[in-house]
Order: sequence, then C-alpha cells, then structure tokens
Amino acid sequence: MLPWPVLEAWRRRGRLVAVSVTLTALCALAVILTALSSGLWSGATSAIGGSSAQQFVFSPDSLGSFARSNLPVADASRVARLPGVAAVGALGTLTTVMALPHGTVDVAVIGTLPGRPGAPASVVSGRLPGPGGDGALVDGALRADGVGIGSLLRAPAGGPALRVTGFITGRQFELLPTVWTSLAAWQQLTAAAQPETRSAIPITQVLTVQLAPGAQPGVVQREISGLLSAMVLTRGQAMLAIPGAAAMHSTITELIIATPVVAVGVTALFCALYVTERRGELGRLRALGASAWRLAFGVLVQAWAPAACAIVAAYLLAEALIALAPPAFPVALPLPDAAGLGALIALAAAAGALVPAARIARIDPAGTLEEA
Amino acid sequence: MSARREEIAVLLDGVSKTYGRGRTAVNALRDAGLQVRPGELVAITGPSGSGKSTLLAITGGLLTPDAGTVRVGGIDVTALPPRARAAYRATRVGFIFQSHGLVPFLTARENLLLMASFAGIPRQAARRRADALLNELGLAGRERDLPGRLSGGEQQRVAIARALIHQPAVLLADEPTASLDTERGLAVARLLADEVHRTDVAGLLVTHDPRMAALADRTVHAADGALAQTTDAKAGSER
Repeated sequence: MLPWPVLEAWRRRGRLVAVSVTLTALCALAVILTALSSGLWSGATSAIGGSSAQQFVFSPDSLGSFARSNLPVADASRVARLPGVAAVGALGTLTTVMALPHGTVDVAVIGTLPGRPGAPASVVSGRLPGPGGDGALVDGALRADGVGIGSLLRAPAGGPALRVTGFITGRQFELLPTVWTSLAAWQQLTAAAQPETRSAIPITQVLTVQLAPGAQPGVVQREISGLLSAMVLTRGQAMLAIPGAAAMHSTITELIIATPVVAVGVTALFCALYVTERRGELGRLRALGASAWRLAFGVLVQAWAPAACAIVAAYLLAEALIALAPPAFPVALPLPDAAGLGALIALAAAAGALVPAARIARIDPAGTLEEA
Repeated sequence: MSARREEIAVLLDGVSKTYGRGRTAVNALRDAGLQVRPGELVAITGPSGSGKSTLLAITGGLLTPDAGTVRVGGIDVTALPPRARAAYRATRVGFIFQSHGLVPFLTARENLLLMASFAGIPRQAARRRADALLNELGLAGRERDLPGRLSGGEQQRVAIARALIHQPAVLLADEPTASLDTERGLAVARLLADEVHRTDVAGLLVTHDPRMAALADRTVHAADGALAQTTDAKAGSER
C-alpha cells in the first residue's frame, strides 16, 4: 500500500490538479521573470561580468560611471607596480551605430589592451586580433546581420574601419552586441563620435586590475585609491555601475520575490481548507491512534506534491517559451537559477502548509464521540 | 470458561468527570465503576447526556478523568502521559464510530492496513490479517472497493474489521448501528457480539436500542453520570 497522502492526492486528483494549475501559473510567472532577469542582467553586464579583472579603477569625478570616467593610460604602469597587483589593463566603452554589410546596427565598442585583464582571452571561431591594430572580435549574434570573418565595420561618424577576426559569445554591454577592438581604435572611434572628449594624451575610461594570488583585495583597493585618488570598484560593483543595471536588477528581483510570497498564500489557503474540510476525519484518525505529527506530515506531502508538479511544469513551459523567443531576445534560464527558484517555491509551499498542519494538533479526538 | 476470561480486561474504579465550572458544571460521570472480562460484550444504555460517550472516551484514552482509575489490559490509562496515549489507542483500543468513520479515499483493505500501520504491525502480517478479517466478516471480493461503493452495513463491517486488525484489548463501539435500519443494525450487532466472543476482546457497546443491548452479555445503564448494573437475558448463561 502506498502512503495514504499519496493515495489521497491521486484519488482526489481533481483538487490536486486545481492547486497544481494555480501554482504552475505562479511558478511559470516566476520562472519567466527569472529567465528575463537573467537574460537582461547578462545582456547588460556580461561584458564586465565575464572579465578576468577583479577590480576596476574609475576616475575620481566619475561617480562610478563608465561614460564619465577618464584616466590616462599611463596610470596603468603605475598601478602595475603596486604590491598585490598581477596585471593591469585598460577598458573603454562606446555605444554607437556601425555600418554592416547589409545595414546598420547598434553596438557597444569596447577597447582593451589585448592580453591584459579585461580583454577577451578566447574566441568561439576565428582568432584574437593582433595588438594595436584595427582587428575586432564581434558578438556571434551579428552573424544574423551578415557579419563574417573579414567583414569591415565602419562607424558613420568616422574613425577606423574594424576588420572582424573572430567571434565571441556571452559578452554583451547595455543589452547591445559587443565589438572588441584595441584601445587605440576605440580612442579614435570615440574621438570621432564625441569630438568634445578628444584628448592630447592617450586616455581610457577605466583601468582593469588582476590581483596576484593571495593578495588582499581591500589592501590593493586602498593602495590604488591612494596612488591615483581614484574610485576602485569590484567586478560586481562595476557591473551595477552600468547605466540602468541596478534599477533593472532590483525591480525584477522584487517581482520574483513576490511570487513565492503569493505561493505561500495559495498553499496556506489550500491546506487550511483541507484541514477544515477534513476536521472530523482527522479527529477520527487521531482517535484511532495516529499521531498529530503523522497527520501533519500527510498535509505537508499534499502541499509539496502540487508544488513539485508546478515547478517542473513551469520550468518546461519557460524552456519552451525561451526556445521560441527570437535569438536577440534577452532571456536565459541557467539551471542553478531555476533550481534555486524551485527550492524557494517548495519552501513556500511547506511554509504555507505549516500553520494549517499545526492546527491538527489542536483537534480534539474526543469530539469524534460527541455525536452519541 | 477459560482462565483468561477470569481476568479483568477493563477496570474503571471511582471514575468521575465534570465538564465546565461553577453553576455551568455538568457531572458527566460520578464515581463510576465497571469491570469487563475478555470476550465479554457489555452494552451501555441510557439517555443522551448520561455519560455514555464520556465513559468510552475515558476508557479509550481520549479524555482524562478528574478522579478514579482506568486500567485496560494491565495498563493504567490515567497515568499515561499525553504522548503515550496515541500509542495506547493505536495498539490497545479498537474504536467503532457511529458513522463508520472510514477514510473515504482508501479501499476497505487499505483502511485496515492504515490502522495496522498506526499499530506498527509489519506489512506482511497486516495484509494477511486484513484479508482474513474481511473474509470472516463476509467482505470477500469487496476489499478493493472504496467506502462510497459499500452499503451502510458493509461499511460498518469494515469498521469492525478495522477495529480488530491490531488485536486490541478493548473494543469501544459508539452507537455503531445508529445509521443503519433495524435489520442491518441487528445483523451488525450480532456480528460484533460474535467477534467479541471469538477474539476474546473486551467489548463496550453504547446503544440506545434495547434490541441491540439484548445481544450483549451484560447491560449497564447510565443515568446522570452514575452507572447501574442490570441483568439481561443472558445473565444466566455461561458468560
């Protein structure tokens, strides 16, 4: 004989289905929001999040903004001499329009010092560009726009034409596909697009720092800050410094958190109705010798069953929707995120069932004999 | 008469129970005493509010008396801590409720196996005993039916089987025929009496119906919380 909560869930499956459908709708909403959140977050920040640099140095008046930051490239060698620093690179960003073989596209041009922290270290196809030239790695999504290895990308405002040498993936900035080129090419493109930012000396937006093994991040941070009077951010802080990233992240996170809260309410209501409806039957079972714990466990199992069905159904639904979404649509559902959300919903179901389940202990089994 | 039937299976001595306080206090039981031997069925009759159900609840460990002692199968029920009472009910007491009280989503056989699991009976043994009991009670072929597919009489027979599966020391039947017509009620009461005699369990049967009470070995009349022993038609029999 199967355990009685399983038999009850199966033989009264109409109720199981009703609760499962409700929870599935909630879970699907949460999973899709999670996928959207992951996709948007990745699309906005993965150019920085995927960096090998652990610290990012911004100019003191930048308020942590990439666009406002402006540092001499020569500062990189000064920072590199500090104890605890393994390597220093430079990174500049520019959101602009590029002319492609078949039209134009909005992209984020990112200039780096090849081989230094912050620069891509590998490609999915093609090769890394040589140092100092006009070669570029581009996001694989641009293939759909007709870009191939050897293609030339031109900025209408001027600056050097960039020749594509390879493709990368999973490195976006401000929801735009990225074009990774040399810092020198980026400086020329920036000067053409924003003439007011022309500088007599080579500049970069931020310095990218890789720490030596065993270095204390806080100590290095203070050393750099003291040397340049600069603002030093961790990789996570730098990601949040990307325009709109923090607000978007917190808004979607709040929506996702609200979903398990609603799930608590739904399961609590379901379990409360269950205990109320079966009060007489539960009382008789207690009179027969079933412990309150045993009966409460049965309620918990019946709260978990629809939650588990809902989590699986919602995951499959979200995966199907993601598969149907256009490639450029910013959605991603990493398994750890989905598993974490599933665990949260399962916990919410258990939490929702706890109070009604605890009420079983207060059912007076002697009441079952009051009818006589 | 066997030596076992000389023993006392159920002993209530000086049991009192009062509900409420002050002017609203109700004396459900007053210095009640009762002895039941193994294999003896005692009918408890009396009007509503006379303390019959309180007597069953106290014997079954569902209520604690204000005074007095209750011993069932050698266990001092009044001395049991609350946590031990569920185990006492699961292993030493068989309950038959007024409206069968079967779990509606479990089959007849599963209802018996659920009770056996409460009592901690191993699965194999429980299955054998459930099948044997259902067969003895004329329910062969109905094992897989849900209670809703059984007649009222069949439901009460399943309830009797459930009350006996763990071989309790005492069988407590609370108006078990109240929801049945006279003919089916009498059939169930006869079956109950037969099972009490056959299994040597001590039986307490609460009933309003003198025809049901007549099937018991002895009748005790409850009135205003006091128990009065009466002699019935079977008083002169071997039991």
